[in-house]
Amino acid sequence: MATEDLPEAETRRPFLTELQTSEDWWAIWVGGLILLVAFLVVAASQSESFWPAVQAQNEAKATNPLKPWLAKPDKWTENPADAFYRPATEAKPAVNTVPGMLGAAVVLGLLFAFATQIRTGQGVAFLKAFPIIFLLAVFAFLLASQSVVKAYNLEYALWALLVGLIISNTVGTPAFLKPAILTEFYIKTGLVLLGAEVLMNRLVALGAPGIFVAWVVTPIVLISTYIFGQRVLKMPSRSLNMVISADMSVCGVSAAIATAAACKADRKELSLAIGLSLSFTVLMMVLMPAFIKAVGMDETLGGAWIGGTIDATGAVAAAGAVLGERALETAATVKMIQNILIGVIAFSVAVYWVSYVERNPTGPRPSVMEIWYRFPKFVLGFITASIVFSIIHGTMAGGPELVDTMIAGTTKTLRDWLFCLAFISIGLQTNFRDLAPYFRGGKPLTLYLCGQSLNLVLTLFMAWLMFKVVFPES
Amino acid sequence: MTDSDRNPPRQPNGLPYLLGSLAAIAIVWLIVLPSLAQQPAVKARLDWLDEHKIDPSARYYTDLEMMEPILERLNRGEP
Repeated sequence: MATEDLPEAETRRPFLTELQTSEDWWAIWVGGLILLVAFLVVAASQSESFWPAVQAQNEAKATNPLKPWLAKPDKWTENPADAFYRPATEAKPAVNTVPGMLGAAVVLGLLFAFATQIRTGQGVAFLKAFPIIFLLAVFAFLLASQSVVKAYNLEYALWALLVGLIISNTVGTPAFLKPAILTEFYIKTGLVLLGAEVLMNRLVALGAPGIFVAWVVTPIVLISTYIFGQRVLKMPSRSLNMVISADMSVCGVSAAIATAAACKADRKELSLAIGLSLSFTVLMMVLMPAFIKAVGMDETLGGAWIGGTIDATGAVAAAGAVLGERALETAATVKMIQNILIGVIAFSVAVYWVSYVERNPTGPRPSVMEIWYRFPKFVLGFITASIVFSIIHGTMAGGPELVDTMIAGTTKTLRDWLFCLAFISIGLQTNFRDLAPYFRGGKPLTLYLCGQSLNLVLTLFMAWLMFKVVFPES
Repeated sequence: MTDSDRNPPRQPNGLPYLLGSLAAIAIVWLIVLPSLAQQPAVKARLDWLDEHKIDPSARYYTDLEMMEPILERLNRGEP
């Protein structure tokens, strides 16, 4: 074992202690428990007609009894109270998100309090601080759910950061909130939940053309952009380079979060990468469909191009819909296939980081044990969730209905809350002045622009090759 | 991610800045954005997005309501 690579070797904790106290392992325990309970509750609560319909291969609708108890503020336009309660009208049913938000607060509060008590003995302090952090997250969701804000893809991560930044840079973050400011813990747990949505059997949705556009071009763009950032731009921070390369080439904010956690990026770097991504997504969402229409590009080709290049899934759908139904479906499906790449990207970046970036350049190559020790373990939870739920979805009778219902009514709501709590936490710990050095020289912007230009050219070429030349019947 | 941040320093008179920020947020979200939503071009876009069940702020494919019929078709093994 290369001891010169291990300055902390003598302070390494035993594996059993790691399992009980490490943040990464607790992200797996908490996320895994949520997934297990959610799936068992959904599976056990189906009506008597569900299983016979599944056996007979008839259409079977699954229900999720947890759905009313886990919610976020709803969309509103003129009155913010509509985000919490709206009586029924002729056109729409009643909306009441208060029980669901309380449910999310209780579930997350208790789970994280328990975890914090075991890990650091600060469970009670956490419980005193968490309601305030949660209320700030409610406020961030409220800002994000105004319909004009939603229409331009200005999602909750932005507002959660802003809310935290305003507090920390004006009156300062009160010390009693610190036990509940657990950025990395929230993010890692949210990523384990996201793992259950990374369903590998969806890869074949568009056949070979979809895989080539989404899974061949994307890694090429990511690696090329990263190398460009290191060798040409000489970015001072490798992790910032990697996070920007990933969010631009894969699928925006989700990819940025996963990659930042995998390469242990500074939270300011994550904020910057997300800011860049959201800014350009708004532009591309408007400009790309206009360009595609102006040049008379085919709907399928245009949709594939949009799906492979615009960062955010919702923005992809909005842009694709401008061109027509076929473009919309192609764009959204290409983006879905790209979304599934997140797991592979996170794992690969984690392995690369611990094997090459973190090693002592003058020392020998790190051993397998060293790589294992440094590897961000939450990625294993992410990948395991993906594998387990892909198997259930792909092979179990009723699997697709149960998994989709579990995701729709439980896990995606909780992962959104977790990411929002994480961005509130980042804002509460960040000084505006600390962000300034990252803008000097404009290297992050240059990296994004150059990488996205390569992405646009390469994706268009691959989409044309696959959908128009090799598989024209697609 | 690294925990390299110190707590940001408090402004000596931070409360007016906080209140000012909240006031700006209130003005934008309670007055400007609702007015913007009633402008014909913006209202048309919002209605169009609702009609197509598209949420541009959706982050992942499971957040997109318009994906549901596509996913159901995939579940049935149809192209």
